[in-house]
Amino acid sequence: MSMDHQHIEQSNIVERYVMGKLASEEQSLFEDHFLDCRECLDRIEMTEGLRSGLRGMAAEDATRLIARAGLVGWLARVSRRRRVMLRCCSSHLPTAFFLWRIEETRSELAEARQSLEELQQRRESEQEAHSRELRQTQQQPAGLESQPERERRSRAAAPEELKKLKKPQVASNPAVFILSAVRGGEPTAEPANRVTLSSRVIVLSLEMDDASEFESYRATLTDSGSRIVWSAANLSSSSKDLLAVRIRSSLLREGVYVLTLEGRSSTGRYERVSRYSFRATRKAGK
Amino acid sequence: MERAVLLGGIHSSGRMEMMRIESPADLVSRIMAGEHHAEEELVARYSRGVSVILRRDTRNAPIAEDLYQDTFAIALQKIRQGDLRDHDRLSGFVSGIAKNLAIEHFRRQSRRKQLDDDKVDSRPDTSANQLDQLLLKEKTKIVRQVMGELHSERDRQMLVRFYLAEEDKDAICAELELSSLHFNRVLFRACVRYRELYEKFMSESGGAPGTASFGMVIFFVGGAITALVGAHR
Repeated sequence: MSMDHQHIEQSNIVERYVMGKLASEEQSLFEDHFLDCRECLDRIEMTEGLRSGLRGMAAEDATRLIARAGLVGWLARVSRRRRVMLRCCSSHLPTAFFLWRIEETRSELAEARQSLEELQQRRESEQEAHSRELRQTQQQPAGLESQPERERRSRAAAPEELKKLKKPQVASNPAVFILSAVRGGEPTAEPANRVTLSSRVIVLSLEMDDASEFESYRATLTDSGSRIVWSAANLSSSSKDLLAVRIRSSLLREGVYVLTLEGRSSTGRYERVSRYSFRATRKAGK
Repeated sequence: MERAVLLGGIHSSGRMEMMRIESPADLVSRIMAGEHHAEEELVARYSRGVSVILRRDTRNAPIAEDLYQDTFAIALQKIRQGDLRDHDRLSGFVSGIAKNLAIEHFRRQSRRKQLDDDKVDSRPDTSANQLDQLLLKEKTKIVRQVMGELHSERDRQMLVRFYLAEEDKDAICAELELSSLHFNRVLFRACVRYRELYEKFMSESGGAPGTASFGMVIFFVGGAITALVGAHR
């Protein structure tokens, strides 16, 4: 791959480098090139400045939006640390809701695809079970006739279910909750964080000291009986001090949960970063 | 100032400009021959690039500064010892040292964290200091002006979607009905205009408050590093 200026310009190498989107080989080649290229260094610095200015503009706009909505008084009562976190969280609502809707639609599509795959797998296993039972039924007709009938009904309903899943889901706005980490020792019996299971999807924004420390993260959610109810890997953050995870609220019941966050180092090992304890409730303010 | 003139003159905005007429191989030969000025030239030549790499890899300005010093100290030592086989690969050699130092830094941090796992979190505060906040505020003002000067709402949307939402260029072009050429042109014009306004701000304010001009920083850092390496010979 040649790293000449024509290729750099046409392939937006500078912009992709600044946004961390270059493949590692391409990145190495570009770094070897720009180390001794004033023109590319100028362009990198300009692009970094432009991008950070755009983020600053987005954060200002979001802050104004919140202020206009009359939340200033509420913010004044919230601790300083949470104010900073809220500002960081809202820094990706520039044209406020716009970016969130893009991400939401992508996630819904991914969920729909996953549900479709699960349903197809279930159909295959049901078909297999039906074939087995049919063979048994032929040997013992009495008492098993209702089973194939149920299987036929289930198979008949499957295409309808598939159709529903293929349709874009009507989104309900996800609820966002900012969680503070448990400091020093075990989580207390009554956590300070509260999460309301009021929307189909909840987003937990995890406060971190430095989200860029690890290549990626793994999150595991356990209930009060230490049973794992949800987990996800290959999480990454585009913000410096927040990492967001999305969970379907149908997975949770009212009660206390602990979310453990682990970072994946360059050696491939996972190390515990933080733990977040919260109480999930159906009603706000409970 | 005299030394600045010897090294190639002063850029109009106050930055020092290197005359890159010397090949990397010649620079390496001069360093190996023990020429002190050549070491300073190495630092001045690669300073910006190393800063970019470390800033990006560490995302932490104080750590990037420490590793910056280490990068050049190690590079000069290795060059003097003859560890650089292919003299023309000087850029790759220096960038490789910088990247390896960043990786090693995070490995050390991980090991330290494992030992301190149960202790109360006491990492230093890396939040932006006042100067950074001031600069960010100014950059934001400049970007607002740049966005206001763009010809159309479509171009503004393009920049927001590309830089903030980090959407794919082809997807943006398809949805907004832009050609790749137009896309690149808008990016380039926005960057150039941003630079004009930023340099104007820097020259009107005499450089950002509390900072030396870029050229003098290079001069002093270069001298400090070579003095440090010389003491260890």
